[in-house]
Amino acid sequence: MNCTIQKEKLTGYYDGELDAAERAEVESHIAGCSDCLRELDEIKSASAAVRALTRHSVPKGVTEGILKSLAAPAEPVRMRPRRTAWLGWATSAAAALFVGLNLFYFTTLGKKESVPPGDDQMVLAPQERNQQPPSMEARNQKRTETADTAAEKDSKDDVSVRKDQLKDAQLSKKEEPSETTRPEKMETSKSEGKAETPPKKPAAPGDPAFYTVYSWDVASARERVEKELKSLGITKIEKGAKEFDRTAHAEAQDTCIEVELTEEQIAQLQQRLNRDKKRMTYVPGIQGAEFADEELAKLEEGENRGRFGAREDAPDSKGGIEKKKSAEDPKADSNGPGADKDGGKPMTGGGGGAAKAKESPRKRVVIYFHEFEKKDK
Amino acid sequence: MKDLPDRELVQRAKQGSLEAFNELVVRHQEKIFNAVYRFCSHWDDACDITQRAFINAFRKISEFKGDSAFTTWMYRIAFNQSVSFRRESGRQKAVSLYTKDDEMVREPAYEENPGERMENDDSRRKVQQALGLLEEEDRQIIILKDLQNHSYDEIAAVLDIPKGTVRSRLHRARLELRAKLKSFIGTHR
Repeated sequence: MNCTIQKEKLTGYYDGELDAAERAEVESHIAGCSDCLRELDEIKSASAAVRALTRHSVPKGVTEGILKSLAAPAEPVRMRPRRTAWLGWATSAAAALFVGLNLFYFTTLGKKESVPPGDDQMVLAPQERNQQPPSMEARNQKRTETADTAAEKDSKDDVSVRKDQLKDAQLSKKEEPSETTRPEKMETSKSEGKAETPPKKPAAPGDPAFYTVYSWDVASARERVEKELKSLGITKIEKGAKEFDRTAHAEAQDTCIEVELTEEQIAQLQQRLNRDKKRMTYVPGIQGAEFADEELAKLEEGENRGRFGAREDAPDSKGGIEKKKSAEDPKADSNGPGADKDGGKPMTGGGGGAAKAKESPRKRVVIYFHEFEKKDK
Repeated sequence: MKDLPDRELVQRAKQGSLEAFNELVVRHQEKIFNAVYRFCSHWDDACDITQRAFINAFRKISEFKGDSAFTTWMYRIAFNQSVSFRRESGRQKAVSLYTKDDEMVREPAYEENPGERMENDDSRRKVQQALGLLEEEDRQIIILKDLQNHSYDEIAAVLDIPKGTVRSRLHRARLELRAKLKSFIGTHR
C-alpha cells in the first residue's frame, strides 16, 4: 500500500505533538492503512516498554557525595555507593582500600608478569596459612562484624595506603576483615623494590586459607580446578566471596570459589594442578622454575619464602628464589602430597614443610583465579 | 529554598549560595540519575556520572545563561559526561546488565501503575538491554521522551536539534527498539 503520509507523523500523532490539521490527516490515513496502523502499534509498544522501566531513587551515597564535594572544593570525592545496604560510610573506606589493593594486585602484578605466551599455566599457590575454619553459616555474620570493625580501624590507614599507591601497604592484619586478607598478603610482599614484611596477623577463627591459581585463562583454570575438586570428592563448591567479585572489583579478572578442604586435599589439589611441570615454570620458588619476572619472584622474599610451591625439604626450596633452568624431573610427579617438588606445597605455608600424612579438619579455602597478562614478545 | 523556582535558585547559586545549588541537586538528581542510568546501563557508572555532572554544573554555574531550563542544561551535562565517561572507560556501547552481576540486574521494588504491570522483571531487563544497543542519540531521545516524558520542544533544547528532527529521530529510535525487543522476547505487547 502506498502511504501518503510521512511515517514519522505517526510518532508525532502518538505523542500528541501534531497540530490539528496533521492529526486529522493521520487519523484519516490510518483508518484505511493497515501498514501504518501496524507501525503505530510498534511505536506504542516500544514507548510502553520504556515507560515501564523502573524509576530508581538516587542512592544516598550519591547525594552525599555531591554535597560533600560541593562543600569541599578540592578533588571531588569519587564514591560508588554500595549496593549492599548494610555497608555504610564507615565500611566504604575499608572497602575502597580493598578495591585498591585488588586493583594494585591485579594490575601491577599482572603487568609485571612478563611471562612469554604459551600453554595454559596453572599453579595453586597459597596465600595464607594456618587458618582455622569456622562454619560456613557463621561466615556472613562474622563478615559483617569484622567489616564494620575493620572499616573503622582502617580509615586512618586509608590515606597513607592510597598515597603510596598501595606499594607500602602496612596493613595490620588485625585491622583487616578476614575476607580481605587475600590481596593484603600479596600487596605487602610485592612492594616494588622493597622487602616489606607485613605484620603478622594471627589466624582468627573464620579466616579461610587463600590460594591463587595462576593461568593463562581463568575460565579454563576454574573448570580444571572444579574438576579436580570433584575428583577429590568435593561436590560443594561455592562461588566464594561474592562481595569481592562484585562490589570490590567488578572488573577484576579473577573469580574465586570457596570450598572446605582438609590439608591433605589441599596438597592433593596442588599436586594435581602442578603435575605438569611446564605449568609451573613461571612461578618462582618452585624447583625447576624459571623466572620471567622479577616482581613475581619477589613474592618469595621475606616471610613468603617458599610459599609458592617449594617444599621445605626440597633441595632448592630454602633459598626462596631460584633462577634455575634445571631439567624437569619427571619423578617428582609421582610423589605424594607435599613431596611434589614442583609445587605441591604443603599447607603449612612458610617454607613449605613436608606434608604429614595425618587427618586434619576441613577448613575453608578460597581459591582465586588469576590470569597472566598476555604480552607479545 | 524549597519554594524558590529553579531560576531563582540558579541565580543564588551563581552568587555562591551552596544551599541554593544543593536544593537544585535534591530537586533534580533523581531525574538526572535515572536518565544517566538508562543511558549507560551501569549502576555504578551512573552514580559516578551523576555526581560528576552536578559537581561540574556547580563549577560552571556562572556559564549557565538561563536561556533554557536548568534541567535542560543538566541533561546536556549529564549526557555529555556519560558519553565521555563511557569512552574513557572503554566500555562497549551495549552493556548488558545480565553478564555476571546478579545483584545489579535485580530491579528493586517500586510503585507502579498496576494497570501497566504487564512485564515481569525479566522483560524490563530485556528492554534495558535493547535500549543499550541503540545508538547514543537514539537512546537519549527515547529516554527523554518515554522515560522522562519531556515534550518535543524540551527535547530539542536538550539535544540542540530542531523539533522536526526530534520527531523523526524518535520515530526511528522506537522502531529500532521494537525490532531489538522482538529479537529478544518475540512479540512484545
